[in-house]
Amino acid sequence: MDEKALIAAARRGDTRSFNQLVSQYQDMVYNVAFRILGDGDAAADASQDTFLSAYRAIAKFKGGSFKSWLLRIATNACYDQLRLLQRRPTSSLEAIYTDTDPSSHFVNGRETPEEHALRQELSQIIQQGIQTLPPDQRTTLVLSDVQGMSYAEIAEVTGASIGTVKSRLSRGRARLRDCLLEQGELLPARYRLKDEG
Amino acid sequence: MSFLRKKSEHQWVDESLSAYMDGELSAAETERVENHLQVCRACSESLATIRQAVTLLRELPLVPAPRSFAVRPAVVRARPSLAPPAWGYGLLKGATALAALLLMLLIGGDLALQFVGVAPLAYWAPAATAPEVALAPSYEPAVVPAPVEETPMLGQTKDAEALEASRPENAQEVAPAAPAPTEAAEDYVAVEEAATTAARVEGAEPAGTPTAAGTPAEPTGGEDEVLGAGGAETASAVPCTPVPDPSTREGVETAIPPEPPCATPQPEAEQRAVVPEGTETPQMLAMVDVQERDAEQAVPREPQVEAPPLSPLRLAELIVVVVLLVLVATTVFSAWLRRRTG
Repeated sequence: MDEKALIAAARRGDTRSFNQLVSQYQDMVYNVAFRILGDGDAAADASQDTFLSAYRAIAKFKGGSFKSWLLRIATNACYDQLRLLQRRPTSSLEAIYTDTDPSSHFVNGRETPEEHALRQELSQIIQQGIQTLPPDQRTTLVLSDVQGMSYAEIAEVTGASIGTVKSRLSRGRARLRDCLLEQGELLPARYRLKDEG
Repeated sequence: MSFLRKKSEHQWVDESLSAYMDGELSAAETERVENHLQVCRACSESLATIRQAVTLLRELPLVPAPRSFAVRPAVVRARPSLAPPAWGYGLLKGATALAALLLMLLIGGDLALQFVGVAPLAYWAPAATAPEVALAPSYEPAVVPAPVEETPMLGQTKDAEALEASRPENAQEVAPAAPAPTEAAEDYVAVEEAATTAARVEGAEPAGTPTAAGTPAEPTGGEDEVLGAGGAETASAVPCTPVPDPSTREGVETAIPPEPPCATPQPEAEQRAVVPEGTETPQMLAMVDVQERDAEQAVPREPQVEAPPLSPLRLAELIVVVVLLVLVATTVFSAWLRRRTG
């Protein structure tokens, strides 16, 4: 059953069809949420909220890109979670980046333990850099460079114009670059940014 | 001028490097950027570092979902009713904070009134209650008269007994206190005098002759007329007037003797008048006693009346405390619910 048929069935209230869509998109939604929020639990909450909201609002889906529509709900859920995280003093940055980064636990079969440790360290530094960005720049950066979406898709997800997306992405990338340059001494030589040109 | 233009060109290119890297620029813009990159080393270095950063971002591993986010219909229906909306929770917290602030203000105002304004309050408090005490019997006739009629009766009987016991000795002292018989007697005397003067006029007797009674012949007719005219008045005024027999023809002398007969019934009239008079006088005395007693009782009674009803400030504090407790309980419950439902 293709995506359109699943969406049509879900609009008629078929939960099983909707859950097929969930299983198809849940990794993407969780990954985006995790990169925006930097917290595994908050990302899971945002993902769950995303699919619940999508199930309730699927009757309002008028067509177009289901992925963009779903990511739009996901980014809104991430903003709600960000507000909750700001009010929750227990979530310190150190706890987020050192303990709850699920990506640091995956071991690539080809990499040595040393490489795994280096990749883990790099992942934490990059995630710290993402967390320093304002939410709109962070979302745009994640959608573009983590999720690989085009400017037009990002504009559709965020509801902003393409010019705004371009501007946010430029500032976000420059800021992340500056953050990584500041962390240059901590990065392995292989990943160290070379500003010599 | 060319320096400023060059700087703005550098800034524009620096901001466009991200889009240039993604191929999102128009052909003209792409050419403009490339021309600048050939002459500006800083922009070239910036482009290289941004590319590296984006490469590092794209190399980040995909983080898979830790669990299934499949939707269960029961959860979809039950959760909205359980989870309060975020704005509602914020509103609840704001209302709780507002109630706490209001309570602090009320308590502060209360303390300020108690400690700062204690002297004026203590000074004005008795003055404020005094009119209530004085006006209490007249304002509350339904409550006060009941004890007034009972308790004074004891005093009244005592007074009546004392009066009766002392009446034979003090009859003449009591009698003047009773105005009704005195007035009746005076009316009687006045009528007698009018009769005598009329008789004198009739008899053409010279005025100022007390011994006019010695002329019995002429005044008899006038006496009859006087008695006929004045007797009706005296009969209506004083029913016990013992009209002397006109046939005695003693004229004026008969006019004087009525005093003893009227003086003799006077004690009876006094006695009758004293009793009703006595009922009035002790009542008035009793009323005074009751008013004084009420005034005395009203003073200790006042705190009992003032204590239970709270002052408006205290009442407001009580209401705000109750509201605050409810709000705090609801907020805590909502926070627990939100934490539980996520």
